[in-house]
Amino acid sequence: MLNYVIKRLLVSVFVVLGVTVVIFSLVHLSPGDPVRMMAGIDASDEDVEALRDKLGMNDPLIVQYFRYLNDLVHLDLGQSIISNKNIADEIFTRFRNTAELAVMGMLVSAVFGILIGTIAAVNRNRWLDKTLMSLSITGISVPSFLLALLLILFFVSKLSLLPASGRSGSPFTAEGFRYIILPALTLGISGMASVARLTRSSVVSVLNEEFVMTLKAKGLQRKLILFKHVLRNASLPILTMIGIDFGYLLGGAVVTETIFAWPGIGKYAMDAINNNDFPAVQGSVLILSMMFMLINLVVDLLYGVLDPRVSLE
Amino acid sequence: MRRKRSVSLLSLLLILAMCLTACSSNGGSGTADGEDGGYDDTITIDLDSEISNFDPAYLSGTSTSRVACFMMDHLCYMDHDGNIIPRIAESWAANEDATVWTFHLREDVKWHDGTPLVAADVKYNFDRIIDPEVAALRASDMACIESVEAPDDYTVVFNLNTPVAAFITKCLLINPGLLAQPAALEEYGDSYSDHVVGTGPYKLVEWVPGEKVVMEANPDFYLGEPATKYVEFRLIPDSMTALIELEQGNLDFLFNIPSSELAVFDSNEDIRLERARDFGVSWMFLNVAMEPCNDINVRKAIAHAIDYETIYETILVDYGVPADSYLPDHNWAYTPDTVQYTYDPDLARELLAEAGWTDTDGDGLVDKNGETMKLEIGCTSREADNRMLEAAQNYLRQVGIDVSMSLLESAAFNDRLAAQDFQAYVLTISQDSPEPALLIDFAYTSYAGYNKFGYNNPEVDELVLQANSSADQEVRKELYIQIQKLIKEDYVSLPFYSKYSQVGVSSKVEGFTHSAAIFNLEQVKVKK
Repeated sequence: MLNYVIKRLLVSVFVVLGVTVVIFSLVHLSPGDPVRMMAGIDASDEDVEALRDKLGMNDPLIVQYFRYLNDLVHLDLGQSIISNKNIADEIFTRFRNTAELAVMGMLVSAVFGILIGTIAAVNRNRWLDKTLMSLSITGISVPSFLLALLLILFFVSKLSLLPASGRSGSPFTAEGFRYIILPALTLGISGMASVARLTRSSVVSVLNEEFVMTLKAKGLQRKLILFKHVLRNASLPILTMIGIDFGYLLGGAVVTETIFAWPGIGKYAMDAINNNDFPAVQGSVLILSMMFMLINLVVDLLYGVLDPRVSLE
Repeated sequence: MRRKRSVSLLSLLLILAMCLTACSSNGGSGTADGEDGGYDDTITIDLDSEISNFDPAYLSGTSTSRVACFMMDHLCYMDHDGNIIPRIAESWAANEDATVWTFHLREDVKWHDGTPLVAADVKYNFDRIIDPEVAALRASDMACIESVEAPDDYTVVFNLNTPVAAFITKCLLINPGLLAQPAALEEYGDSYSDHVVGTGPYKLVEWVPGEKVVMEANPDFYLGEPATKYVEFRLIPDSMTALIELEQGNLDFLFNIPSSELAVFDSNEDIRLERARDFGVSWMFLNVAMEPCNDINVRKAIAHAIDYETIYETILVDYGVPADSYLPDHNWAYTPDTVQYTYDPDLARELLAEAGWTDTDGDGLVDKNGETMKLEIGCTSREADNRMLEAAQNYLRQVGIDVSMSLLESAAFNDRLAAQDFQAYVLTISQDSPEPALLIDFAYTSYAGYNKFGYNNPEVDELVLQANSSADQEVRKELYIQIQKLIKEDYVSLPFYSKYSQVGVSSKVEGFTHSAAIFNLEQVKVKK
């Protein structure tokens, strides 16, 4: 297993290098001049040129790329063109906020998704199953901006129970927790619906396998069969889905973060893209792709833990 | 085992419910300590976009500028009507041809760290902005400054290389004219934004990127300590969410109002909409350096093809008031006495025919030498501009012009504008000052920053120079009237409307007067 991890990490270095080339080319080839954005339409060409020179943006692209790579090797993601702030610091703070939201969202989708899916599978083809599955189709179909507004309308405008936006310190405090509930629900509900559907089909197919019949014949309790044997066997595709979902959530849900004014990395990357703040775009995309790779690795490792038949070599 | 599981699930739900109910009573903004006399100690205001940078040399964007003006001052100030009034400078005078400006400073102005502000500090700030090494964002706006002198501690003299009658509004009241403490600029360098030291009514407490900016009243403010102890700007990018926060009482002021939700202000007694006239105008510029608008008859045809009145009544009525010149009608230099672009589609067709554009193939679109007339109009994502342009597109189609709208995000729009690459484009300019130079000089002179439509009328340039050289407002008014007439006769831009400056205000707010010119909260209190 250690060999496998080392091999994967080594391959990741090349993937990261590839990511830097792709993202560097993309941001520099896309239209929009960050200095022009900062200076405004009416700024004179001389002002814009002077600032471009100062920021080293008039150097050949290849020179800029190697300068970027050199900084990267020294763990320096550079400074934002717009705010002069250190990008690594900015990303760290935003990433922490996004991670809080992603973990909460994932908890909602995993816990409730698996629960609903299992209940539906056990009651397959009965009214409960049909109701739950229709609800989950609705959950998948409702776009997050609408869901977010509906939640705000209900919990904030009607009931005045929760705050509509912002982040108020750590979600492990009572006040902080109140602020994370609505964005986490928004993120969690659509994930929950897909997890529920996948869990249902997975559990149903495992329930039809012969070993389940054997277990029943042995006289094992129904709940024990379900939780100890069936769910464990059905868990691989569910885990893959949750892992991929979690990766996406860590990438920051721009819409959810925007509506709830959650200071996460998705909104940060989006602002950086809109302002053509090259270093900030490069920095955030790089960190996000690294996170994605890491999560994939962890999910692959978990396969081996959950199902000893899976060989990681 | 089963019982254990259901007990733990139940307790989880209970904890959740307790958290919800325990905290739900804690609504409203503001902190508990320091409240007095039934007033909240914090004014909360929305921010719709991230702060860029508080260094006056690189400060850009409306939101950033609004926040920065609480912490840093300009030499002078504008009152609610846009008149220039003393602030740090208590008096000033220009020489006869407006090339030497002398400012006398108050002697009781202190930086936030308690050190007194002296003329050398002002000189340092302006020297820094015009220093090419610094590459300040708006350095070229101050290109007229030849040198700055500080003959004594409380006198600053600006020597200009050209006469500028509107020197204060054009050069001092813009972002790079904000005064930052030289020692702080040197000490903190790139991280000055986290350690702003100005002379304004509020001091920076913290800027949490992506979340908020918190400021505390400056007890030594030279015009007296502000009435409310804290001001908090909260970043809420989504306008619907921000409106709900205002309704819930978590915001006291809301700038980013969703235009589709204005009716809420009529139905909710807890909030009100304050509306003031902005000094800017929304125009459609026709690029005279490109086909087909290089032909004045085509420009005239476009001008007469659009029914401005109907567009205003059906679309723009919530956004502003109609405009028919390059200055809004409440500007002191405005004249109604210009060529009027009346809606006359038949005249438009005749003018097109005169220019050689007729519908020869019966497809409803005019053509010339076998080519159909196509007009690409650039626009950013401003809702009012988009809707206005859609309507105009329809009217232009009726006289046979095939219009395509290019709705671009601002970076791409600015790029193409800088390259003067649009046949036509719509631009809405916000302007807080009634100084005509800020609209006319900045958009219609051959060298203007906003002139991305190839307009070059030497007569306009000459008149602008004359207007700049005179300090007499009556003389300047006459000159700007002539300029407006000239530009309008050239048919280079179509004025649509002059927008409102709007702010949503909680009814708990007292002592606030809204105007486009300034956003001043020094006397504002918020009832609990």
